Amino acid sequence: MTKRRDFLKYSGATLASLPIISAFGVSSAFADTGTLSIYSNLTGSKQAAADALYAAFEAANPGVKIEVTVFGDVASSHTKLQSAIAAGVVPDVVINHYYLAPVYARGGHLFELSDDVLAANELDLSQLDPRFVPSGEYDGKRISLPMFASSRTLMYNSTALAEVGLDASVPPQNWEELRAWAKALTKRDGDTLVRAGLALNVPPGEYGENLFALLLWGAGGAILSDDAKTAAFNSDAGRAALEFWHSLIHVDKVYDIGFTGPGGNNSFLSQSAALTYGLNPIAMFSARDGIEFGSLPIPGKDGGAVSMSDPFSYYVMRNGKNTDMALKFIAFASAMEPQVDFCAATYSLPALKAAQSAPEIASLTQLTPFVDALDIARPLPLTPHYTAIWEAISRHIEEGLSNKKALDVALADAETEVNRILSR
Amino acid sequence: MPLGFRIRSALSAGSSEKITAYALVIPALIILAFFYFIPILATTAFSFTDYSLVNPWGWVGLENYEEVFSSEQFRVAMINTVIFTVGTVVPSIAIGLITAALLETKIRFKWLFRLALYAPALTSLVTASMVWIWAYDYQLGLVNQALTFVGISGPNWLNDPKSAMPALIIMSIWRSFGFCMLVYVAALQGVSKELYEAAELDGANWWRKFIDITIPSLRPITFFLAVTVTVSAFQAFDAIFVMTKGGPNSTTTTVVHQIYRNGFEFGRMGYASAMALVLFWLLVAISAINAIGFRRKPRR
Repeated sequence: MTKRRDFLKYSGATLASLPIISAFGVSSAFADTGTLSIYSNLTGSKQAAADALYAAFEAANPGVKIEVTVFGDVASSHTKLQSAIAAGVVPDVVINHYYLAPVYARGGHLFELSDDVLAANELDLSQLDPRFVPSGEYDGKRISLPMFASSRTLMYNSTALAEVGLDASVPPQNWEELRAWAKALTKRDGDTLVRAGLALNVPPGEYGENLFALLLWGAGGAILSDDAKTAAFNSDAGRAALEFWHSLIHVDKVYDIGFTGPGGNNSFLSQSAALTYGLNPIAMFSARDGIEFGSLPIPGKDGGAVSMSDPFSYYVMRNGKNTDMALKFIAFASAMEPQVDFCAATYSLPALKAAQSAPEIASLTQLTPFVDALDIARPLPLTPHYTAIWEAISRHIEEGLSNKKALDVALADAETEVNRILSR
Repeated sequence: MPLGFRIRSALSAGSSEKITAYALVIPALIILAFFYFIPILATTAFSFTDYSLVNPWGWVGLENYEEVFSSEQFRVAMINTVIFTVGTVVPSIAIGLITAALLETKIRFKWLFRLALYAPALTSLVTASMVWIWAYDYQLGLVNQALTFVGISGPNWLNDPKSAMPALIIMSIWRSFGFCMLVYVAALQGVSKELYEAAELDGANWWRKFIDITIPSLRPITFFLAVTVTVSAFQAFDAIFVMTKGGPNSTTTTVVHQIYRNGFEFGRMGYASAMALVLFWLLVAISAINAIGFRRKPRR
């Protein structure tokens, strides 16, 4: 009886002391040792480069072990992290697209990366590219920090251009000139498309947000209102963007819906497309595969140029077990050497300003147009409803582009649905 | 033996049997409760909320159900699900029955045919889906190569709104009919040989015997298969997720695919729960209708 009473007494005391212990910060007490848990959406060459980064951090911090869970696509990582949050077993750090952070921040699951926190962990925000940093700010708080970014350019196959006598030094300046290029570059055998002049296909399962946003911005439009509370794309610019896209498919026939390269691969990489709105990893794969290619600015409707930046970011989970170690890792990974090593190996645009002009990065001449495009690039608007609104927009646009509904109706339907989603 | 003693003995024997029966059933009931009844109750409760895995939530009454029944996406998904189900169930059962009947004839290497025809049912659905993606490839795929061989230009199977659903149905039939065949093969062993002998004496050929003896004798098995394959087809998700992601143009999105997307991609577990409940009761209704239909005596 006494034993049972003692057991209950000590168990009770232990349980009662848990909040006190945690209030004093168990994690910080063990900041230099332990396990750092990471959910990463980096795959392929980026996964290999990230593995080297993790190994370097472990070598610099004996006693620290990094456990990484890698996800092959955004949907899988999103599903897993939501389940982890619901189960109360979250990782310390998440490496993913910046645009998913507000989804988790809305429910209070992300650790706020305030100026004080950054200063205490030797993270100097002024050293990061100011064009990426705002992508981590939502609802007046900093919820993510950029690791690297990608941008978009008009990528061309040099061999195809030479074949039809087009000169890359005199690039298309507006949509009509782009259309003329695309038509000249398209090759058909009867009805069968052999080479797409300009491939603007949306791969299955993706939303096509990049393509629509680039066209919309090129026509002077916006996706959401400034406060991101209402849809803004059902406008003259939205109609112009869709009409241009639709005419490329149905009038000029520069590509077919669903057209891919052999084996379902990217049509530009299989040299089945002469032009595409590509991002820097496509440049890396093209260089690897020995494709003769180049990059030009993406022209706007009546001139000018557009691009998009998509920072891949770190989020620190509020209920992670090792927050201090997480911040230490981000500070380590944001330093010059790891940034240069990772980005040179993956053709990524470093978040650290100084790394962008490092010889290892500058020597990648095919990356230079993507670095230059950052001056005109903008990110997609931040909203906690990112996935739902882009699924809705993409679905209605797809119906418009495939003639299931009129383009005006597609835009209006998308606007109605997006406004309903944003009002939740 | 006194009457009272005999009654007590009988009661005691009955109680012992009951205890044994309960002891055998309770573990299964506990498992069912944890993995079926409690989730169904929880899903029912969630369907009246705006529950999300990551955000605070509250009661919304019947809002989710109103949205389900007015949603264009749900309507499209339901139509796709019905097309997929009918397209899968009827041919799978028919092919399963025909192959089972053919395997009952006097042919050599029966076991090899059975194994080969049942093998797709044993394959991992995700692995099989990956293989079929390659088979359906527009330029290099086995299917279009074969069609080209006979002078037909095959479609862009998984990327063309017209061919994506048929492509999934063909793959689903390939995977389902082996199970139907195996069940029918087992059931055919129970059909009285005397019936066939009597029919032969009356001059019936293979087809007549198949129509007049085999099919009516397998009626309960056909009911069982109709229910199980229908329920399975209504829950189609894996192949769709891997092969088409519901596209192109939402032509292959199904109810379960929509449940997944809303629950996990869009963070709307409450709404997804309402869809799941609608699907659940629909399946219960279909099973009940099937049961009633199959219990009616065949016309003579």
